[in-house]
Amino acid sequence: MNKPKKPLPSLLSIIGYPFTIIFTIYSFLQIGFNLEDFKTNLQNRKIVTDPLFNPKWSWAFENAAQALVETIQIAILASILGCFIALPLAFYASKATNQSTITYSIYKSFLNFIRTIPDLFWAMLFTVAVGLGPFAGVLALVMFSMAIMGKLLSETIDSIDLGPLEAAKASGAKHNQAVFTSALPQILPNFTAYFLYIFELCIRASVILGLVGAGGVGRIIETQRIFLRFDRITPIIVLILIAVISIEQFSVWLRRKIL
Amino acid sequence: MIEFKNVSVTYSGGVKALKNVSLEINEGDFLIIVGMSGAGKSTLLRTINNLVKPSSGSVIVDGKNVTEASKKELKEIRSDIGMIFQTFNLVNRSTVMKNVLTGRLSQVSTLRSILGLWPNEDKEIAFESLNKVEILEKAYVRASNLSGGQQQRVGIARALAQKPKVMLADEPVASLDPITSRVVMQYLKQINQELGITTVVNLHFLDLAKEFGERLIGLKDGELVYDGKVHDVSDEDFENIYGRAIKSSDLLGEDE
Repeated sequence: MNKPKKPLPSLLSIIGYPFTIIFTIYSFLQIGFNLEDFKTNLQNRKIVTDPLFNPKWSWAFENAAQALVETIQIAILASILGCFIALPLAFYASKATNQSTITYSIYKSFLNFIRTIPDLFWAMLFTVAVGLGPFAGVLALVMFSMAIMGKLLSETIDSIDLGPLEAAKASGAKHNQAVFTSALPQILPNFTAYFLYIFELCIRASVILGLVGAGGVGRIIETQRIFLRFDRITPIIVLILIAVISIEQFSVWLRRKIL
Repeated sequence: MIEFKNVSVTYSGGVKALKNVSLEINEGDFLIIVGMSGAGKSTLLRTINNLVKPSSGSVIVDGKNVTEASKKELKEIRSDIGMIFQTFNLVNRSTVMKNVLTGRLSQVSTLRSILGLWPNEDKEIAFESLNKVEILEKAYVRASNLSGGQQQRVGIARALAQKPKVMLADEPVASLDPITSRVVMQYLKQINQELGITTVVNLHFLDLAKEFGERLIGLKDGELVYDGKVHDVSDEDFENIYGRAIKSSDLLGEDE
């Protein structure tokens, strides 16, 4: 019996495994990963843990509920605006619906560029541009959702059935007419599903926008954290948790209905 | 009506799909093109509405040079040429009516078509076209809910809605069963006879070509190797076009 020779492990695995282990250990040391800190903190529980577990509910309802609503409003507004701006951009950023290599590359790189910038950075940028407050937050998340929708949707458009487009072109239709009647209906269910997904992302992202002064409940968390009022932070976090989970569950349910 | 002047097509990969084809198709003709897959049937058909651009030579439709037409002129020429596809090319998620109205796009403004504000006149034409292929009752059904044969009839209605002078059918029955195939061919023939629309059909099945065709053209490796009346064509001619003996897969079968 002529058994085949067992192939040698690939170069990637020879280098990869030891590298991963060494890098992990090195990072542990470098970052100062130390379980002692936990112990110290637990001993200082008068400052941190005790107030954390003795939440001031009434304070949170009086002072944070409205900010939480503002957070949700920012997310709704931003995801609607961002996604609808991205809709036409996505058609320009797909080879299926844009034959010009030049404009295709421009739109594609534009969307990629926006996506590489983190949402918190956009928020900081817009607080400088339009001042502190929720409007800056909305603009930041518009950029955030536009970039994600642009990418997801343009890749979906890449894989549509080109037959109906060809049929419309063959009948003498203008390019935009062909795209609108023959390509758009094909991606509408995906668009709706992506929109709901992006809305979920925006809800989560909008919570921390306040940290840089771009409106919403994050601002209150930040101020209370500075004053070490953990008894006030706990109920806010619980409120956020309830809101985010219920909105997400609703959105997941809706997405499943559509696709 | 349609004139090919020394038309050659070479694809970017270097494949010569058409070699110096010259051909004249008269008004009201019902022309059938046969040939092996890869013989250039589809390419020939697509040069007529410039979905494929000839590398050399020119195509003239109704006195207008398609090959040298500007973008705007091309849209006008195309609006007079209906096309039917092997895979129907319907928007599956849209209703039959919306699909048929696609055939009217060249006649309405972009804004109107985007908002779906179709003039009554165009809607009327769409209904008439659906009626012509006897599928009017399905107007508000989603295209994906129709059978293959019904979808191809919607494809014909969409082309008819253009009120075309020329009808191109690229393997219109290749995705259909024998009985439905004959139904679809009958509609094409009927439209040709009643409305006098010049019709060019690519077919793979020889018996179907004999049954419905009047004039027959044979393509082999991008060259025109046969041009004559269907009645005169012999089995040897077919063997010459196909470059081999006729097989049962070249026939649709289940003849009436």
